[in-house]
Amino acid sequence: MKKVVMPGNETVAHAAIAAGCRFYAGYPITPSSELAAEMSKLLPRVGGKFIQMEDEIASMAAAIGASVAGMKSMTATSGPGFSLKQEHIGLACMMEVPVVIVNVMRGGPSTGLPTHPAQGDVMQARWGTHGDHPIIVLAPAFPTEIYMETIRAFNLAERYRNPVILLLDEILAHTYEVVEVPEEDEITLEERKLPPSGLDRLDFYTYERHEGDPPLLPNFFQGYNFHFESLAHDEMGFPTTDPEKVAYLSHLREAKIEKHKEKIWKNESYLVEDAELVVFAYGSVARAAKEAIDRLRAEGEKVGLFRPITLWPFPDKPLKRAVGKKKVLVAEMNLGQMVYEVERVLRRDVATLLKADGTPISPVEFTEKLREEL
Amino acid sequence: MKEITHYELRFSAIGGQGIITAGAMLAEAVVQYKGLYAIHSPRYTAQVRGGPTKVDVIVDKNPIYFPKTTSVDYYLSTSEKSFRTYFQDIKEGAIIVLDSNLVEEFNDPKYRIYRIPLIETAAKEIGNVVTVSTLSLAVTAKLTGLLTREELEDFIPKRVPRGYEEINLKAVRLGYTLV
Repeated sequence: MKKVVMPGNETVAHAAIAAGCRFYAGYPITPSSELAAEMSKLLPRVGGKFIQMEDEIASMAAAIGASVAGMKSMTATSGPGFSLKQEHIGLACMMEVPVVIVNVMRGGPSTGLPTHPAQGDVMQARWGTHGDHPIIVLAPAFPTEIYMETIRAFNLAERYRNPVILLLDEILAHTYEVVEVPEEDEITLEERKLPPSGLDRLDFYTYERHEGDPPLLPNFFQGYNFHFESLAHDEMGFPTTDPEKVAYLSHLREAKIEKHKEKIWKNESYLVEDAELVVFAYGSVARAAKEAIDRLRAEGEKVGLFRPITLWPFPDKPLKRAVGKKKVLVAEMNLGQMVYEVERVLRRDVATLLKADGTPISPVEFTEKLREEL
Repeated sequence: MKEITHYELRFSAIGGQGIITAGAMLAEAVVQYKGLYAIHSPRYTAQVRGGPTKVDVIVDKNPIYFPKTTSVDYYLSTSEKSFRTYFQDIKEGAIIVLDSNLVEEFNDPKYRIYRIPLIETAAKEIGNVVTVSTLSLAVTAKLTGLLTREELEDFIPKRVPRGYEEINLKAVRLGYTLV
């Protein structure tokens, strides 16, 4: 392990390289631009390819293209660019293509506040593209965690053959912090499973599999007779409107994530056990919460934090287990988004601390609000 | 040096002066030599060269949760406009270092104020204005006790561009004698 001082954007780039990412297509946008800049430096050194496309839609398409050819690939953007990428995120979900999308959240809607933090895209990350689709969304909060979660994003994308979205915000992306960079032998990398050798390459049912498994898609240019299709398709990837076949694959796409939620979930419970009041916060907001919790604990107040690192699939069981009947305060840098999920899961109203003015929620604001709610 | 538990610093300037670099170097050096945690967050305006910029540095014994300054212990500035723009959350008793040629007279008994011709010294006495980053870092190290002169003399040659080692070492030595 070595300690390096770098901002979140660069941390993601270095971790992506360590995870085996060898292709990046992007269109720079504040506050994610340094990520592209760093990838443009790092990729050529490891024999990878960097390309700046004409816009966000094209860069999402290029990232998907590289992935179907067998590369681990990534793109990064922020708010307005994330909106543009949605169309092709849906394509990657439909075709079951592994790809990592980084969204550094800034104030919105529209061009909003380019240089200020927000958490307004957490629902868009889940439901931004149209139609029912599976998605994994990770929201790290600390520098070393950003590194490790980037690697996990690639691993999950490969394992489940699905897009994985990594959410940062302007604060995490731009603050230079100490990252404990692990050695190569301290990280585990996953590679996509390929079809077993000896299969009939001309009569191959690409999307057929057991419920809960990802499809065993071959990479392009390997001689297999198969098809990538954005329309609803059958087991060979050819378009179909047959309700039975449509339902079959849409069920399998959901099931490959749904059945493995327990393995995808990751969260931190901080001083929750004896707490009377539990804060639900994620990303950089959780850091201010932790500082406030430490201050209040020093005064003997029983407060704790539940911090989801996996935002989607939503950690319903872990949240219920951690919180039980305790009082809950949801804090986020938006006008209330994840709070709806929390209330749905707990089946009751909870308190909120919401802010969407381009400035972070400070530990002082947290302390005051928590005192009010205790 | 007294034990550091938590210390907040701010450097403000005009974009291009090299003050952001001083903050970055300080954070890297305390991590390397003191085993402390440090963060720095630069802020630029849209006008990158010639606009007001600042960098906030937080040094802590423990991992830093909230990554923004709330109570600044040390503030260095080389521009009147930037000094005023970013004069927020400065703690009572804070050390304030101002470029004596570029920041107007500022007196307030609440602070410990030093006036040093940083940029002029870098340009004339050291011989290259780019050394103002190292000079400011050395002044800061001396005033705060965050780094020793020996540590800086070890760190600086490895950190600055090749060919600029000697001139920057000169800046370290001068920085320690200016205050």
